This record gives sequence, C-alpha cells and structure tokens, in this order.
Amino acid sequence: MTRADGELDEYGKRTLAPLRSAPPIHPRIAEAEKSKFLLQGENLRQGLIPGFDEIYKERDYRKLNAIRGKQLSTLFKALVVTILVVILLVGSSFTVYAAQSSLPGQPLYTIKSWSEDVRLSMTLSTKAKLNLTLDYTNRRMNEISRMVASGKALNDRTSERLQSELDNALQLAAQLDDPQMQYALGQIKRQAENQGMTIEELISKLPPQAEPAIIHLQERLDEQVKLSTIGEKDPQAFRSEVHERLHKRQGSKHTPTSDQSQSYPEGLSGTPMPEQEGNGNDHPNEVPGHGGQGNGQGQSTPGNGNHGPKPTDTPAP
Amino acid sequence: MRNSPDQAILERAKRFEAQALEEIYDTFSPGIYRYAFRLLGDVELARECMSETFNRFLIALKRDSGPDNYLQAYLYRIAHNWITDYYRSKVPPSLRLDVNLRADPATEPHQAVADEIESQQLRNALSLLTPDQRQVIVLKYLEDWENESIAQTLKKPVGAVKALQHRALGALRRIMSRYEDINL
Repeated sequence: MTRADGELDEYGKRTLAPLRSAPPIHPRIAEAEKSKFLLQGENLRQGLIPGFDEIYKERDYRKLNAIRGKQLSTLFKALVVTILVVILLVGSSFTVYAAQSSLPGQPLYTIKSWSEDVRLSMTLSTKAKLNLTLDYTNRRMNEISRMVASGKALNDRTSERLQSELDNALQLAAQLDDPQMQYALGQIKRQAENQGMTIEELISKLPPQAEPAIIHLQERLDEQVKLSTIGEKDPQAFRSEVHERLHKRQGSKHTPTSDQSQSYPEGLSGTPMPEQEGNGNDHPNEVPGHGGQGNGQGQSTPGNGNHGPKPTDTPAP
Repeated sequence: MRNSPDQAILERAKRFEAQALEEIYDTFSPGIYRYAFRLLGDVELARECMSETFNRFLIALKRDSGPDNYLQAYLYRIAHNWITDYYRSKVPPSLRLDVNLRADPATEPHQAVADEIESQQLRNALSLLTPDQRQVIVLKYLEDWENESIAQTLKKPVGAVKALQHRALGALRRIMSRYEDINL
C-alpha cells in the first residue's frame, strides 16, 4: 500500500466512523421478525404457501398477458380498420341510395349520375344494358315531372342526358340480332309513346309559352317512336341510320359551335319531322335552302343553296 | 461462518429445516439490520430491509436459485440491492430534519444534533456514489470485511475491489468537501 493509499484508507475510516454506531434492533421487533421468517420457512416446508410458485406463475402469466395484449392490440387495430372500411362502405351505400331520389341541381345528383354510369359500365350483356338504359330514361322522365311539378326550370343537363340515353337505347338495339332487335324496338317504341304522353300532360299544365326544352323533348320522343317503327320494318335501314346518328353525334361533340344541332334533334333522313310534313321536301334533314331543293320552304338562307345534298343522307325507306 | 463455505447449512435450509433457518437468521440478521441502518439511518427502513432480505432468501430457496456457498455475501447482496432500489426511488435524498435523535445522556443536545446532521450528510454522500462503490466502502470501513469477502459479495476480483475502494473514497472526499464548504 502506498502512502497515498494509506492516507486514503485512514480518511475512509475516519470519515465513516460516525456511521459505525448503529442501535441494535428492538428485541420485541427482532423476535417478531424472526417468528415471521421461521413461520414462512415452516409453511414452505409443508407446502402450505403455494404462494411463491404462484407468485412466479402470476409473473409468467402477466408476461403472457403482455404478449397477448400486443396481439390483441394488433387485432384491435385490424378490427378498427375493418369497422372503418365497413362504415365507409355502408355510408357510401347509404349515400348512393339516398342520391337515387335526388333531382338535377341537388348536391347528391352527381352521385346518382355516377352510380348509374358505373352500373351501366359493369353490365356486360347488350340486352341487359338496353333494359337498364330504358329504365334510366324512365328515371329522367320522372325527374322532369317532379321538377315541373315543383315549378323548377328544366335542367339542360337532364334533357341532354335523356336524349343521350334514348340514342344509346337505339344503338344497343341495333347491336342485337334481328328478332331480338325487333322485340327490343317494340319495347323502345311503347316506352317512348308513354313518355311522350307524359310530356304532353306536362306541357298541358305549363303556360302557352311552354319551355322550349320540353317541346324539344317531345319531338325527340316522337322521333324515337318513328325510328323504332322503321327498325321493326327494315332492320338494315335502321342500323344504317343509327350508325349515321352515332357519327353525327360524335361529330357534334367536336363542334361545340353548332348550337342548332344541339338544341334541336336532327331529323331522320327520309323521315319527315313533324314540322316538315307536307312541305314537299324529300330530304327534311337537310339544312333549309340547301342544294336548291328547298322548294316551298321559304326559309332558305341566301347564299347557301349551292352545296347540294349531304353525302351522308340515307334515302327514306 | 463468515467467508467459510456454508454448503452444509444451506443444504438443510433448502429442506426448510427450522433449526437451520433459525441458525442462519440469528447469525446474520443483526448484521443485516445494522448494515441497513447505517446506510438508511432509519429504524423502520432498516427493519423492512432486513425482513425483505430474508423473505427473498426463502423465495430463492423455494425456487432452488439460492446460494450454494458464501451465504453472508449472498444476504448482503440482497440487502444492498434493496437499499439501492430505495435510493433510486428517493433520488435526490434530502437531509431529514424530523429525525428522532437517539437519547444519549452523556452527549449534549447540541452535540447530538450536530452528530446526526453529520451522519445524514454522510449517508447522502454515500447515496451519491455508485452502488458498487458504496457497497465496497461500507463493507470495508463499517462492517470491517476483508477485501476477499467483499470480492465474493460483488463477484469481482480483489484487484477490482481495491480500485473501486480507491475511487469510492476519492469521490466521497470530494462530496464531503463540498458539504464542508456549504457548512462554512
């Protein structure tokens, strides 16, 4: 031991000396503690204290529970996510369901349109698509009736959607084989007739200055009846006509300036429109004054009569 | 029994023979109580420490995880761990002003108070040491153990115990000098 170590050792003894004096434990407490210790020992000897093993079993059980707790926590999280997804799905379903009674211009109407489009796109069979499309046209008519009844102005979007659905019905029918197509056209015709009657009732309730959009729809429904009648008699001519209408419609989408073609239905070539009947025009679908054949129309536009007949015109049956 | 192999009595204790347990308790409980009181400075805490030390000893015997030898070192290690846990739960330790002074007719009251404050400061200083440092110097200077016995208790080589002792005394001296500065 070095001198420094010796000094440090002396310092330890000297410094800690005050703690050396410690009172003895009180004899009564000492005896009680001893009795307790010996009693515990005796109980352990006799196996009367199952406690110790159980204490550790309990600790093991707690550890196990902690592990289970973690697993339960994971399960709980999964359950919460599942519940949220279910709530989201149920909520979405309720929203879509609630949207079905909405009218154009209402917030939920977009969801209604979207759900109809999704349902139609998920339908594979042409026949089923046709039935669905016919159902949608009835829905539009119902919406129009409710809007007119509640004094609301007819929404352009609804009118356009109905016309689009009427066109789609014809195109879907044209994709069927002849017997099926004729049966489908019978359906389309009957439905268009009924819808036309509904429109007539609505117009009768409206003031004389009936909304042009409603009148326009009536004309479109009449056209639907006539096209269906043509298809029942001459399937080939009907398909050609539908094909041509599809091209025109697609073309009109690329020429937004052609307001006239959007506002009024294009007449069927060879099928006189109601206002064109009796005017002696063999091509009622032509723009008035075209090709110098506008005899008796009196609506020729000066300077535009030298274009001749439209090359896509199909002869009337 | 100190430092001597205790295999025989431990074998009996493992069978929970009352005589063996009583012998162990009578031999070691006063020292464990004293050791606890020196570090804790409280009669009730010292009793609790002693009681818990022997209780843990029984549990270890029951689980067959008790000592096979050096029973004293084992018991002091349990007591030391209990005190260390107590210190940790009480950090930072504070000087107690409500302590009951032991009546000593031969000591003047003011001297008794001064002695008690000094003891409390010393305990606080010990509580600031690392557990190993604390145990080394307490066993060395209060329990008068040889380095070999301390090494068995700490399960460290004797050289490591000496190094610990050296560092512990150095740290204690620094802490006590700060107390002295404050007192001045």
